Amino acid sequence: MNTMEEETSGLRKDVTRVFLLLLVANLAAIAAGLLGTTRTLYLFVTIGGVAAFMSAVSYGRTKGAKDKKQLGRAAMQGLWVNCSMALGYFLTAPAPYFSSPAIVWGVALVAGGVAIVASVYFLFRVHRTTGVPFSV
Amino acid sequence: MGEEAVAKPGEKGEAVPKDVFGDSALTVLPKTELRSTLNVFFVYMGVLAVMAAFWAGSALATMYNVTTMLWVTLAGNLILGVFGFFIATIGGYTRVTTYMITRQCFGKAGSVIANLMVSALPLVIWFAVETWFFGLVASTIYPDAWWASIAVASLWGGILMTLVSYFGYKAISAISYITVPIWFVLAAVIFAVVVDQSGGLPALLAAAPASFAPISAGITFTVGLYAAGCVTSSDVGRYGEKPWSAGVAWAVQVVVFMTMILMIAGSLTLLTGNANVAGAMASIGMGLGALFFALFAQISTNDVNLWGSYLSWVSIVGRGNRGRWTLIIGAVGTILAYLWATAAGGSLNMFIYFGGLLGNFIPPVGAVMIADFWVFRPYFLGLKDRTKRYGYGTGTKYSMVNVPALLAMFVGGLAAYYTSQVNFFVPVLNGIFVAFVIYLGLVVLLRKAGVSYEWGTWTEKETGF
Repeated sequence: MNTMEEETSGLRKDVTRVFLLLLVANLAAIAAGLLGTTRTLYLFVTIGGVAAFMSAVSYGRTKGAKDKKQLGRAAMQGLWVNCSMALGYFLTAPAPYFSSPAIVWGVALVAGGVAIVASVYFLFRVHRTTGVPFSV
Repeated sequence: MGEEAVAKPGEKGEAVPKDVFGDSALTVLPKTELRSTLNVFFVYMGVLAVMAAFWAGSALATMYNVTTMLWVTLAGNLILGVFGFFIATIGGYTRVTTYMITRQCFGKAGSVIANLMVSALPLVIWFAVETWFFGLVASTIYPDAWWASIAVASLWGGILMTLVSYFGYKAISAISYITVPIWFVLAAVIFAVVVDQSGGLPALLAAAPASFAPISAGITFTVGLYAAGCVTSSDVGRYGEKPWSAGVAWAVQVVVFMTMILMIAGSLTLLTGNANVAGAMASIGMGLGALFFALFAQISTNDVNLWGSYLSWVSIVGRGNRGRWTLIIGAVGTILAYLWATAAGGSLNMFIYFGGLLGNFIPPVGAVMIADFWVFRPYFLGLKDRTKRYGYGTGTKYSMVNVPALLAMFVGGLAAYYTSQVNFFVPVLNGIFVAFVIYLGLVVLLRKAGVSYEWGTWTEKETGF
């Protein structure tokens, strides 16, 4: 196996792990919503649900990718959407309307923070390794 | 003979021109620049995600109750979906901008006239309008902050929007990837919040305006909202990796998501009297979130307005490049928005009237494009292969003016304007139908009669100009 193949194979392993991590983080946010108000639960189910669904789909797409290009493209798209949805936690969760204790929206902020950091890091790594453009 | 100047397979230029104007403004898009269907879908969705859509949607609530509104918006958006599908797909097969497509069916000089009406002028106006709109929303969220006054927020908002366009399609699509998903989710969340605070679904279903408008008025209004975007959909559509990618992406975003936005706006207006989504967000304690919501919306839309206008201007003038044109148009639009905010504050009636007037002539351009590419070339010139119906490249010969095309555009525009004054059927559709029939009727009859319908010849230069 040459270095490039090793790099791609390593990337595939890491990216699928990241999508699993994002799936778990968003499910944790939804679970935290169960401890808050009904409004918070609906909010977290909406944001976390979309992000978790996208993570699950991207996990399957990256795992089943046949070549470097397919892998990069599936990863990029999944990471962008996760990054976008993570912003949603920051923009909405602390609002007084949802009236949940800080510990509840704090979990969502942590999940969102993890998602943003992981997404940004892997967006660059996927771009560098696969050559797929950010605007795939 | 009229058909002499029509580019056919084999008449295509030998050499591929260099992309000197940026983003393949005057050349065929190379394969390496093609993007996924999701990418094209998100760019279209980014244009749709705009604060003005809420204001537009709230107008429907003054005409109908929520169920009638649903049928009206669905009907209007289905028309837009079908019309836009055929135009965006032309871009998918030819891989060139709207300007270059019209160069084939309107002629070199004719395409300049068509593009001044379709994108070069209207998109500068809409850039100014949307920039001003951002200022208005910012001032609603932070009424006491100097940096959020309509004039000042228009200035820094306009600069941000110009910066994104400066970096071209790649930056536009990257911005759309990050802003579009969360924007639509937030819109749905705010809709749920306002319904919750205003008596729930029973209150929404019971709400109705004092009197109902004719169904055709609502359909016309809906189609008119996005007619210009429809005709220029090839600018983005040429990037779709499969020829039909952009057509499908266009149809889905219009039929599903434009209906969603209009319904949200209309419902909020029926329940609360206005569709100020950012204001609603600020009122529940999402001040910063509301500001970002508005900023995301205006950036993801206005960067495409500016970019589309640059593609048109650089094609018309044949000088400059993306950087220069986006800076010039962005500066003009931002200053216009600033001056207007300073002089007239909360009213943009003059701009909107002018934009609306040009809007009558925009759909007929699309009708001519569809008639030429999808009917005339395959069934009367025998060009069955969709990828070879239009030829481009150095040395390609074009007519200067295609007379039936220009005539069809003007008569179709006048028909749309006139029927809107006398309230006959659906004015936008009238204009499209008249332009389609006039173009095909004239071009087929003249060709059969052996009468020349194209004047002059223009040979494509090395730059694609």
